[in-house]
Amino acid sequence: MYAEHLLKMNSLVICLAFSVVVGVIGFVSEAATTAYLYAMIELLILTYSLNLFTGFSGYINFGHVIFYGIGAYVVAVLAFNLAALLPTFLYVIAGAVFASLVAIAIGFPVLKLRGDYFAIATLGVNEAVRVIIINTRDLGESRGIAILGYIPTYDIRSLYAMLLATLFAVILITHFIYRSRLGYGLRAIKDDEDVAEAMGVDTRKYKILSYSIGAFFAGLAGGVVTLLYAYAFPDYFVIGRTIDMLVSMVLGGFGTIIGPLIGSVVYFVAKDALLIQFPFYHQVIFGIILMGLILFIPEGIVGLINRLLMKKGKKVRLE
Amino acid sequence: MRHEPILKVDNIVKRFGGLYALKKVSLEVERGTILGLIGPNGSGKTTLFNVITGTYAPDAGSIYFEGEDISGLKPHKIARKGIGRTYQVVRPFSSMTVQENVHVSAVFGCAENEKTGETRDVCYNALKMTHLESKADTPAESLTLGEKRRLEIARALALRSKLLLLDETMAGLSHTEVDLTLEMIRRIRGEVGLSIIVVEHVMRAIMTLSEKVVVLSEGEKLAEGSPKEIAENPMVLEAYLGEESVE
Repeated sequence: MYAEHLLKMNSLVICLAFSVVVGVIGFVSEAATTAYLYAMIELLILTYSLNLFTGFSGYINFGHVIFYGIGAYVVAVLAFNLAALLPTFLYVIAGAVFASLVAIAIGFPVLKLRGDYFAIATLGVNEAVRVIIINTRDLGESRGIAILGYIPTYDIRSLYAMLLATLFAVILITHFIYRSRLGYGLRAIKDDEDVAEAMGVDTRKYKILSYSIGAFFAGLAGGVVTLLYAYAFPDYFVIGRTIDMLVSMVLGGFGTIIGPLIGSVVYFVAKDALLIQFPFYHQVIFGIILMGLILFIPEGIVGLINRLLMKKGKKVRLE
Repeated sequence: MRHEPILKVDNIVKRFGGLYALKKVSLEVERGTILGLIGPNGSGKTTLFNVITGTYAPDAGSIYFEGEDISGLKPHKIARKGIGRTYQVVRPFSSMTVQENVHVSAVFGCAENEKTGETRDVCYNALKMTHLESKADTPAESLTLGEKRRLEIARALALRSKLLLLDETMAGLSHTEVDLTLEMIRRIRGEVGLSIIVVEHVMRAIMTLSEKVVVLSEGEKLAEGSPKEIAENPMVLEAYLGEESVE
């Protein structure tokens, strides 16, 4: 009864309610718990940002983490050169804007490619950006840029607030795009790009647009994280983080509003718990569980819930 | 402007490597009429559709739509000018409902600032015209073949097409469904005033619907005329019988 009542509310309300609850817990509990939730919200934002592009358009992007890294490096470079001249949240926004501009520049040539070819190209783009970073002297090469002492140090709670604000923003944007002209265009592209064009969808424009919106939010996450570590280094560009986002997104149900939330939370909690229980074999066990999930519920947890609801003859659906 | 053809295909050439799919094909569609396009398999009918809608750019020749040269434009631009199409192998947006399918072309077939109320009317009329209004909330995937074909027509209608390209809309349909579709196409022409090109192997459809028939064979225009003239043309018969004897 209670669950049904909850589902009757819109998926957006569930997402926002969850964020509020997690937010409050983060503020009132001790620092260790806050740090745990901080990492979880970081994954949530990243998964949502990937979902904005890959989830809606169906274009698999193995290079999404570069926008996270670019956001991080812009904050580090600005803090290094300007110190505390401007409020630091402006550096974070500058990083996100720069990340989305880079996405437009990359998107113009690379988004001419379709489907699998695009996915392969993103691997190349990811490596290219990483190699450029570790060979640029002004970006500290493989050492990165440390900004400790250049800007006022933050306690984790104020950064946590910044991250929470980003989470709210990305959920609202996702909800807005889902029913918008852009959203319909992207879903049409995901189903059949040729037909989408024949129905008047300017596919290239919409792909580039959503690619850069996703990049913006990944850049925000990278910027806030840099303020916490006071350090930007080439490891921000490792592909493993993109894999975390992809798995969370597919696990939850991609191209939906609530899917990235469910997927990220389940993935994060499960991965952490397995790491503690089986420090040596956790990745093996996790891999096997994931294979099973992909085999049996390819449409993700949201799809599974909707299937069960349909079987029970309920009208409500998650979206 | 009235007497000008809505579509003029002028000496279109399309090559795939060394193979000529279309060799200098020309044809005209008069406003408010139905043109039947027939020809054996591989004669270039679908290629011609793909060139008209911009999926392929022609290697030579031009296409004029309402007097404007549209050859080489991107497909979405051509669609917005008012050319809608259906596919030989049905291609609905399978993750969407019927309503959402039609909504996509209603939203993208026109200026960005249109009011949502107008879009809703356009969708409703398109579904009503194709007898799909009771299926609006059904997932497109679970429709029957006949319904999927009607959905493709509904999509093209919601695009506010002025010219409709129907690619074998009746293939694989039952006798009653063919009758229903014929009736529907006539009504679309009559009430909405569309010009239509029909590619079809169901001869009954071509003969009863079209004012004019064009026959393609191996990428060339073999004959053109009224349905009666075409039915009596010995070259046309040979092209078809020749194909059958090879099979």
